[in-house]
Amino acid sequence: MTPILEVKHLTRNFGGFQAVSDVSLSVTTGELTALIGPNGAGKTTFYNMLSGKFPPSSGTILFEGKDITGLPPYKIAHTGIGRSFQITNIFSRMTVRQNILSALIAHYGKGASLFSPYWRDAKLIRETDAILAQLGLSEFSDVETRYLAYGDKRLVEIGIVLANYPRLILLDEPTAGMTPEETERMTALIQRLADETKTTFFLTEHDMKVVFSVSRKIFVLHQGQLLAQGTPQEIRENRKVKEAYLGGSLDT
Amino acid sequence: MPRPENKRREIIIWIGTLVILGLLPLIINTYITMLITEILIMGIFALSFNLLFGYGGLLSFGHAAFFGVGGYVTAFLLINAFPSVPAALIMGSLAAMLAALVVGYFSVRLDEIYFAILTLGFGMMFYALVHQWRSVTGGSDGLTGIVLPPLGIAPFSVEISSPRAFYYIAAFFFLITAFILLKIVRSSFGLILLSIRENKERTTFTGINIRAYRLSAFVIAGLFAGLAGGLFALFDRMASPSMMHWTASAEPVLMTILGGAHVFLGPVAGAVLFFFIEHFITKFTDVWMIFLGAILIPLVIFFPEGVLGTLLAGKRRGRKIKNGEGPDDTHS
Repeated sequence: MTPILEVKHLTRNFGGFQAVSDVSLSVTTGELTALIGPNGAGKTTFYNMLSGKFPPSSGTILFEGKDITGLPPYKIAHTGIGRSFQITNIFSRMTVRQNILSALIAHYGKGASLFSPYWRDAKLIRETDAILAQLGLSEFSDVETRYLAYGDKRLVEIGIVLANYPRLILLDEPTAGMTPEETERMTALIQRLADETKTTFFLTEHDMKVVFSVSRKIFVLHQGQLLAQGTPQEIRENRKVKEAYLGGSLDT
Repeated sequence: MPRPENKRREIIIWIGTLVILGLLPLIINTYITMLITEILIMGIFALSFNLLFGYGGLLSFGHAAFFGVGGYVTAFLLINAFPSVPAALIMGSLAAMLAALVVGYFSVRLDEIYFAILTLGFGMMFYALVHQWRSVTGGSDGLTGIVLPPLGIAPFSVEISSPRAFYYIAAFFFLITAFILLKIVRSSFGLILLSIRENKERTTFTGINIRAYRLSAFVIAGLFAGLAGGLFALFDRMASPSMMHWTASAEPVLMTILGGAHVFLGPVAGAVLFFFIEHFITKFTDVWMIFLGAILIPLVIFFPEGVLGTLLAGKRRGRKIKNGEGPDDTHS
């Protein structure tokens, strides 16, 4: 299988501190992959480099064989990589529908239309409604997102990401701060999207139950370095990983 | 989001506005006519400012620079080049747009207070320029002696120098500006602009080059500020440095906060309040600024979304509760 994402010797320094050091890994097309590691392992730094929030200090990032190292976020978004954030990142004084529409307009490059009302664009509205239905958010279409429950806000963010029709989706702790019910709903959604669409998911997650139930391949970061990789079964039995986590949280 | 059934209501509002603005001079005296002319011109200025502030989330403290460029270029051309009001106004607006392109190119890279300070700095530079460049701008005296030539070609030309005739010119451009800007804030471009205001990071990561959008908004705002400045120079029969003083940049800010930044006509409502408060207090006292301040403070406290914004939000909430719906957005 060809890798959708290939990372070679990726390093990022902040002053004297090496947040990510010499990480090489590749994500297989269509394989739900997870990136785990204790707090401060460098997961978010790693994602920020992949999505262009800041460039790596050294190393290269290949997406579908194309070098995207150091490109600005808006260009990376257009190459086909979408991402969500650890802390909910949506448009709060806009309706749920407007949130999705905004990303669709960005995707199709229709933002330069100065005079055409976006709500008359039948194609945009149809696709917005389809995404909202997919997420089970249809009933909230016209509600401003700041009035939504936390779990629904996180779903809106997934919707914004989906509206870019990315081929690779980076999810940074999609269930962070969720209730068990919300977590279950999110997990089921990710599973379903991964099965139904051709999208490849690459997620970080604290909740080991989620990680082991959805992913088929796991990478473990520890102190900025790649500690281990393998199937959930292999990672579960890996001694180095157990030590990194000091026993506890892998037993779920 | 506006729904189809609102369309009829909107047409009624447009026609109503047209009729009221058309008939108003027939029933009011010259003084009030001139007051409303000034409100319409400053309304254009404040609306252009709010494209940046209310919709783009950019607080410009140098917007008077473009108001001034529009005013000076319009005045200069009328005095020195050709006796055509429309041509002078168009050239004035385009010059302001060009100035906005240059200032915007540097300013939109920055956010919030840094953007505000940089635009303030540019504004002061423009002020210093017109103040010092005596041979062209007339220095502190400004460009005086504008004579308004008749509009159109004889024998079909109309005199526009009377207050009432000039009121109609201002009303015409006010309606055009409101129509175009309303179209823009409701377009795909407008939604992206709103997204940038709401969440810059999320917008970038959906594939939007934020600087390009901000610069476009800045240039459009500059164009209409220039139009307002041109009209103001015609109204005053002069272009003076005070049009570009940094306190002049504060006026659209004040009007917008007063009326409401998150409703389209908020800045216009603010302009109405501002001028009526000013003109009615100056009847009784010269220190009207003190009283303006005393009135503004409670208005800002009790109308956090601006006077118009807060009133409309209250009305909308009432309607929603009656229909048993959830809250709606406030930008339509």
